[in-house]
Amino acid sequence: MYLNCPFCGHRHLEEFTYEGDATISWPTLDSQDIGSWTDTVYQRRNPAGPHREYWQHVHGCRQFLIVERDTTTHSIHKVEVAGPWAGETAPRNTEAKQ
Amino acid sequence: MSGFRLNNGGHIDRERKLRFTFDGQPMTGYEGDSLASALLANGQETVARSFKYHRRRGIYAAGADEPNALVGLRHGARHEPNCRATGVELYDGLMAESQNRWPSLDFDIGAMNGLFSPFFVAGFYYKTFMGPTRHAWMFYEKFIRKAAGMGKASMEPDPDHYDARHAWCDVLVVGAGPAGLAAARSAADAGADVLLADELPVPGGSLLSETTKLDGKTSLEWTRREIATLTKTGRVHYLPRTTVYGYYDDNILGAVERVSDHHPLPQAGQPRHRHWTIKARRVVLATGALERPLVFANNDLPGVMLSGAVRSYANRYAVAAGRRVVIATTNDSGYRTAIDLAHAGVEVACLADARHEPPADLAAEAEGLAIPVRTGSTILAAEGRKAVTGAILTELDAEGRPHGKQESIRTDCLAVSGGWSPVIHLTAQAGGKPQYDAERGQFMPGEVLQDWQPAGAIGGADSLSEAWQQGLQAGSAAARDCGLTPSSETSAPEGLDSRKPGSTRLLFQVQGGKGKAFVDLQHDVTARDVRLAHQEGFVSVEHLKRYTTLGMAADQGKTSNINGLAMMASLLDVPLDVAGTTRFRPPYTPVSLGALAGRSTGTHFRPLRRTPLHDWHVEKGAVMVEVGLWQRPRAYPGEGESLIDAIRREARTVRERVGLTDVSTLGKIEIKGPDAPEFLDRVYSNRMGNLKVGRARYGLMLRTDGMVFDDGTLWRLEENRYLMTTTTGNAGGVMKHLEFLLAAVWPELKVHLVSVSDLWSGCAIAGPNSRAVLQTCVSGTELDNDSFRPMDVKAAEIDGAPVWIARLSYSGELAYEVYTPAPHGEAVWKNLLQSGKPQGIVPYGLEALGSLRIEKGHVAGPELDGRTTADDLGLGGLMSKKKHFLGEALARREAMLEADRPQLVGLVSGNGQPIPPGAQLLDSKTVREKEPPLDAQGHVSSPTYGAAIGKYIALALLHDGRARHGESLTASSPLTGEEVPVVVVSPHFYDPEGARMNA
Amino acid sequence: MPEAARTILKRFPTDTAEAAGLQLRLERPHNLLQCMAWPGQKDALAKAMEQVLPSLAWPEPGQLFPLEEGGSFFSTAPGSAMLLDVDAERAARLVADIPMETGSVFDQSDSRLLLDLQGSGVQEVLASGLIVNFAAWPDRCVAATMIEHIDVTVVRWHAEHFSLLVTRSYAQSLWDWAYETSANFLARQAG
Repeated sequence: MYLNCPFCGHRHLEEFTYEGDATISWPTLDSQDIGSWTDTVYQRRNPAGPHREYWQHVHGCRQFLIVERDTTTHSIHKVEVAGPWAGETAPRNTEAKQ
Repeated sequence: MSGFRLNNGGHIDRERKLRFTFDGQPMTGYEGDSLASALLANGQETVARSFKYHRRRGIYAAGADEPNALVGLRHGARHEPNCRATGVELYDGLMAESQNRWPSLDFDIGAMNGLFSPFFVAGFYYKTFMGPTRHAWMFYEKFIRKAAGMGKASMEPDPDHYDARHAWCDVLVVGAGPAGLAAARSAADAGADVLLADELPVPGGSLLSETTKLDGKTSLEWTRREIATLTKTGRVHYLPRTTVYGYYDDNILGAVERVSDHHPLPQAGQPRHRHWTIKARRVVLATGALERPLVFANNDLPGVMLSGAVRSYANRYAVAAGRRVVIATTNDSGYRTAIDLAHAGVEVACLADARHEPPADLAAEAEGLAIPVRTGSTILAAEGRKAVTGAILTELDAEGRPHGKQESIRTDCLAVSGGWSPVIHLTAQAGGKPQYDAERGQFMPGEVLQDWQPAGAIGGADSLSEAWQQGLQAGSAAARDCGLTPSSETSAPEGLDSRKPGSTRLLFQVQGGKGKAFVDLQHDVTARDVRLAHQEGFVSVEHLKRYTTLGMAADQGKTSNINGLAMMASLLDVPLDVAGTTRFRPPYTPVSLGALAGRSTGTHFRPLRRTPLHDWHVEKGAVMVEVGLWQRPRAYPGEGESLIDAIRREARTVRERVGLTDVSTLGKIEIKGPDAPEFLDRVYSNRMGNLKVGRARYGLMLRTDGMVFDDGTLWRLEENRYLMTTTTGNAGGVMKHLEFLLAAVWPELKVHLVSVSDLWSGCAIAGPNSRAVLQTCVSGTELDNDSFRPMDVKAAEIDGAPVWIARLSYSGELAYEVYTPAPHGEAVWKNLLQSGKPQGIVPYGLEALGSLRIEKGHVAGPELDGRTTADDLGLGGLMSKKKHFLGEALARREAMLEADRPQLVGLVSGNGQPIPPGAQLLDSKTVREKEPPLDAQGHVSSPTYGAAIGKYIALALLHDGRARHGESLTASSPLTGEEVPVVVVSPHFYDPEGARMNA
Repeated sequence: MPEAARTILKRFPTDTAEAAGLQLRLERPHNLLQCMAWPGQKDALAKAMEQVLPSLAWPEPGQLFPLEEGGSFFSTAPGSAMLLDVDAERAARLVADIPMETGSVFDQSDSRLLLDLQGSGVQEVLASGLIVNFAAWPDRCVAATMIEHIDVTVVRWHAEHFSLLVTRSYAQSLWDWAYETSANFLARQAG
């Protein structure tokens, strides 16, 4: 399986690690609300179908990527950079393969 | 003796005679022979004994579908069991042994199993061996294990090496038969980079079994020339002896190249096998078709073979499989066999066509060669004892049941063809559920999720000419999909047959004959077993497979799957497409573990990380240990000194004088940026934002769920430059954690992080004399207690090498950490040891390091096991109340604040025995109760022998531990059977005031 | 630890080694500076660096930009680029002079070693462990990837010259792998 990293291009899955659900939100650090912190740490949807998730390109650019993957067919629809460099690295539509 | 060599023909080199042995018998063959064809040519009838019943078996097929002829090759460490003789290239000096027989192939005691065969039907081990007690199975299992299996593997390490290649191409063509060669031609013509892989050592595939000339040349001459032309384009890479065994996501395919199997030993530098991971933009599958046999009584006798294989042996290897051949067919291909044998001068006693109306042209040609043809007929049973000596022919009714006249006929080779199935295994692996085409009577590829083109049999081609044309189109289409201009190549070689064949009569089983009728030869599964499965309710094909083991042998049911499921479909009275097929899984043919391991064996199993001081440790005779990927010294035993004595000596020397240890493996991260102080305040539980330049601080990092994640130190080297240290094991984890926070949670923070773990060579110098040692060799900074306070960080030099020195103590003694860039590491280390000689300095290793910190009551990995909070560890004071930090909210959950949580305590052994690591702590009441489960109060996390206090001690986590100092407990280790009385004390066994490290 | 230049393979007769030869060298780079910009500040950082290296321009992803003043500049992550083998004096100025608001410069010279491979067999040797399609790269192309679980930054200078930057602690393992692969390749050539 390959992932199309927006910076590095098409790379083998071995270069990446899966880093969990990307749809979770984070409370601000001053929040003492146990409920919202519990949601962040423990609650996950686990859908059968399209899923937005983090992958880190550990053996490459080390960026965190947000990947849209279908959990039933395993096909990857979109890959974008998470974080402050998202604006400067265009997301890769993986239908246009190498 | 039935098989023999024909005087003419074949793609063998009669100039190159090869000598080989089979079960010690010397035999000869020719270059170009497979082991199977050579055995046939030497008249060998029995080549193996079957799996369960130990029946005699002969060579059955000519390719990957061979179920019987499994032999052991080579000796000693290179011995390889279960090799398909049809896939073994004959070489001079080859030594082959038959398997699964004792004492010999001819006289095998195991044949007695045949007498007990009524008990060995499918599923027998689920029903027998069940008593008299529940544990009886473990008794029987020993004997069954001994009797199971075919060949025996060598128990010696493999002396050969295996290689790996990663390859990218525009078009991967699987199969170098007519369709594949055409696809490679048109793809290359269009400018594509082509990989052409074929399992055979020579190109041509099914063409090698044809006698017609192509462009006036023999088929092998023609295909060789074609390969040469293709290779000359510079765009085609031809891989012979390479099986593409698996088709995965994203058009990734796995293949294994048998680089040196055809030599007695691999030649210099050659791997035995090479694994190819191929990423293809487009794939053309030109994998051909496999023949189905018919299921009838005694169809496993040596001499019963696939008709297409008999033809291959005659045309490709110039070997007649028998002297008086009978052919039973349901389709046109049986005629080809009959005609080619007749041309070669072999007697064809009869051709039984199950169809009532055979094609007129073929019937005429057979008649012209005086081949007796029986229509509407097939084999009811084979006859013979050690090999086939005759067959009973029968007529068939419209439903395919035996009906009417039966005839006995003498024969020593029974060639059978039930029809052909395209090799769709790779498409099924790629997600395409096979679709049954009732008109063709074949399973065709289903909807596949990957980017591929069919060519040849898999595309429904019915003639060689059609296969060629499909290949041209497929190669062209594949090239076009890669963005290239498709080729306009349409030419085909002269001589390709374009005759449209007649239909196949669908016949799978002929019932009514006397004797066992086999469906899966390799696993000895009979027609009766299939009926039994049906009778017992195991009717889905997946259950049929697992209950009978049909299709589960190393041949993956290549000659049995379709027949088995057709029989089940018939029993269920449903059409074949409703019955369906089982899933095909890689590998298509067996793959060596060596090829899969590739280079990752021995020293390359995983990389080894070495500190800059590694060579010094090894030279000094350190006992090294692997910690994760790192190599670290445990201790430095002197001449005649035991490891334990060395460890205690080193720890004592640190407490009494001074020692030096290598701490280079710690994770180190350099941090810069205007928001660095804020970021550090957020990730550490204690305050860090106010850390001044030239100071260091111990810090605790929590996970978001409030548990302690890691501990380390933070040094502020310059206004805009921090050095963070982490534990060795968590270096990668902390880096990832910080990178994640900056990418996903706080992207607005301007912080740059860079891993510098390998940049710095770090050592810790510890002991009351440590200052004195530094004063001898350090220049550029004052070292007295007033100038260099605890937690100070200063830049300095040691004999010209730049160093950062931080006054930090892990051991509880006066101590400093000295960091220098890696190239200077060894020089600085040696310098310190040299300067420290008058003070009695010694190097100390991991064990002493651990022992000292335990004595001091410092927590480390065993206490930071992901289940402990800062409060549990007595570090609640490091949870700042002046700022907010990650993990704060969930660390303050109710359950985290409960009084009786496991808390860090110290233990002292009550009887002078070591406290077992991981032991459970039981109070006196519990110890008296004999029956588990027992209520443990806690566990031992870090035991050691305390060098300074002279006792066996341990750190432990005990419920409500802080309130229980002085209590007596038992440390119980059921796994090792140890029980030690202990007393609960403060974890700070040694110098709790910290006077020594602040001196 | 390997520090200075290592032996060139001497197993085979000189003429064979030249015809289908392979040279391996492991050494410390003269300099390696990691230059990281703040988001949106890439151009500003490049401009600040131009004060010290006038010919400098921020490289495209994967592209190696040769500097007239000596050395190369390449980027293997967004906003982050490495300066390789510029002279020591300029390197020191860069570490000291770049203001915090523009970006950060880290001296990584001691954290990596450079494994240099030259010869006609280089691509076949690398194909045994590299999982990127370097054969299709243009010259002066760079990528951060891995070989046998070891992180490497691969530089393709040209078809027969590649360099691998590897973190120090892994360098011996990488060398062992490269040496063994090369030795097998040369043995096959000779045999």
